[in-house]
Amino acid sequence: MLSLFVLSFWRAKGFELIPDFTLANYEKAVVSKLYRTLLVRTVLVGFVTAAIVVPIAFALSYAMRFVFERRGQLILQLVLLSLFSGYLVRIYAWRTILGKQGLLNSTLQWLGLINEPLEFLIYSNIAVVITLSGLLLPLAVLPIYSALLNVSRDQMEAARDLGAGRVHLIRTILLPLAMPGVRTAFAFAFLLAAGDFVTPTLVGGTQSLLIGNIIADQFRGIGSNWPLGAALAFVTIAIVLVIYLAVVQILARVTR
Amino acid sequence: MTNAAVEIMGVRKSFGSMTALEDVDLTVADNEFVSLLGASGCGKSTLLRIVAGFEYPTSGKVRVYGEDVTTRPPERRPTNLVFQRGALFPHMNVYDNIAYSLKLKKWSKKRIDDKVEEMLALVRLEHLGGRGPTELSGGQAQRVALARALAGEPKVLLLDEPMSALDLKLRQQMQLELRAIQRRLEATFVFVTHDQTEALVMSDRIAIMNRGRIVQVGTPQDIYRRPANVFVSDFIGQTNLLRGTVQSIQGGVATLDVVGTRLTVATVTGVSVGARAALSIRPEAVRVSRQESLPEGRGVEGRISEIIYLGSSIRVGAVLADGTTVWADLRDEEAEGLAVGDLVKLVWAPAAPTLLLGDNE
Ligand SMILES: Nc1ncnc2c1ncn2[C@@H]1O[C@H](COP(=O)(O)OP(=O)(O)OP(=O)(O)O)[C@@H](O)[C@H]1O
Ligand SMILES: [Mg+2]
Repeated sequence: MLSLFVLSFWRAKGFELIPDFTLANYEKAVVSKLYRTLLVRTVLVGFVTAAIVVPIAFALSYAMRFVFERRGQLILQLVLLSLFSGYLVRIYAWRTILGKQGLLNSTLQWLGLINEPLEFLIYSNIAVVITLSGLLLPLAVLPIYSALLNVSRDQMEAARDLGAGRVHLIRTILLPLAMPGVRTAFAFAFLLAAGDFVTPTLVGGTQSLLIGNIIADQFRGIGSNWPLGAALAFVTIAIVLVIYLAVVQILARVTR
Repeated sequence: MTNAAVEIMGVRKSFGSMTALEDVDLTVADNEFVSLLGASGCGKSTLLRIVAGFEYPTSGKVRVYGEDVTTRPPERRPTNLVFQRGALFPHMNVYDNIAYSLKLKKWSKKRIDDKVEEMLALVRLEHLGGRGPTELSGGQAQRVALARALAGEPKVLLLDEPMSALDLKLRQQMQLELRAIQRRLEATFVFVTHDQTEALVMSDRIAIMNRGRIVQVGTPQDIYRRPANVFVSDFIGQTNLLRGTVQSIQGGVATLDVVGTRLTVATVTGVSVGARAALSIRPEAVRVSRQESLPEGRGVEGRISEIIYLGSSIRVGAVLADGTTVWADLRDEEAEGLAVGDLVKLVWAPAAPTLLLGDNE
């Protein structure tokens, strides 16, 4: 990590790396139109994915903890199992669901809700977001569920007894007590989505490449440029971090 | 009834095939302190939770001050519950815990401040508003839980063994405090406990429960002096049970044959000649005598098997012919000269025993 950081100030000349202290790479990363577009798209995709994944993971964890109770543990095992089924396999699974003749389109057509297959379901930014959400959901459930294990049924009942309806219960009791887990889940989803470069190539269109793809290119094959790749990576991390901290602040404010 | 605070009418509750409550009827009056007393698993908490709204009865109704609340969720009932383990909110300090229901009611800041202060004074924790729940002792935490439940001015306060986690000394002190608070606020309390002393000390009336039913409701004196059946007399305090068969009933007096001795007792409704029944006599009502003759109908013969020093009294145990042990609590001078192995007469005043119909022999 540190060596990568040092590397980001070097120069690349042909296939050689030349030690230096230059901000040229960073300048390129920020000024270049292409990189800027990709950065913005990446951060947006990451943020939207996290914003979709975390509430769903919260709802799932809530159900596992308080609706299914003991059977919640069983569901947890299934969630863990799904994580072992492999990343690529799961991306391909989403392809068969979202594809033009995929599960979703054929079902909707069969139901008569649409006449033509929905084109935007595959090879688009939406496809990337949906697939990433599906991939990251189990990972987000884990920290939230374990945080909810610390909330006792008595505490929930006490809040209701004192007059809290569902919304208040979540806002004043569940969210604050589950906040460490929610933060972790948000960080997982945001960082991993923003750093992904496999999903865009498999389900994304020409307009949905992410910064991860460019960064990966900088580290392999012809035309690679390690220092530039490192600089791009650090800019991405910095932006993600700033947004993450802002979100944490806002969440803390809302649930006070 | 016009001044009924809580009316529980024909409430049954099943969990799957398990029946937790069977046809429970109970009315709690305004300003009354009623305890639900019974052994573990008899359905006390279930009944309280039905009143609070956390469980809905399988059949039957619950009214609070005349309003049918049977299917209303807990957040919209005029009752508050104090939990066995406090259940304070760990991410809020004492002040915010107590203010929780008031904020939900959208009271003004000033009014909330005043109320929290009043509640803290009530439970004598004036200076602890800023503490976190983990910085409180067990007794303090339960006081905060009480203050939190009372702050919203519930019409009925429900308490589910709120002191069972405290040690004896603290529990006794808090029993008196709780009773004083209830009197001061002129509030209606329904209190669950499995501790008979606790129920006797605090309650206006006690409802004794056994296996999902209420078996007797009455003042502490009623229940102690006139238990309705063998279960109650066994459950409340120490008692001697002399089991036998009813020989005759005449002029309000029943005669029982107990181990070959005829004993008399005021009869109760539902007794018939030939029925199995029991005579209940408290140990403090039994005297030990060495006289030759047995007083007619109110004494049995036994051999002393144990002499136990209890501090304020001496407990003497004597075994009857059928192996039953009868206990007598004597003063020091009454027990003088008694020794294990002595053959003695155990006697009592004519009004001392109660006739019970056995329901769990
Ligand atoms: N949610 C539930 N599901 C199934 N059975 C339950 C449930 N709640 C209570 N029971 C059963 O109902 C019976 C009465 O339980 P309850 O908690 O009311 O007893 P209790 O008198 O409060 O006992 P304790 O003094 O131990 O607290 C018990 O046999 C218990 O196992
Ligand atoms: Mg209980």
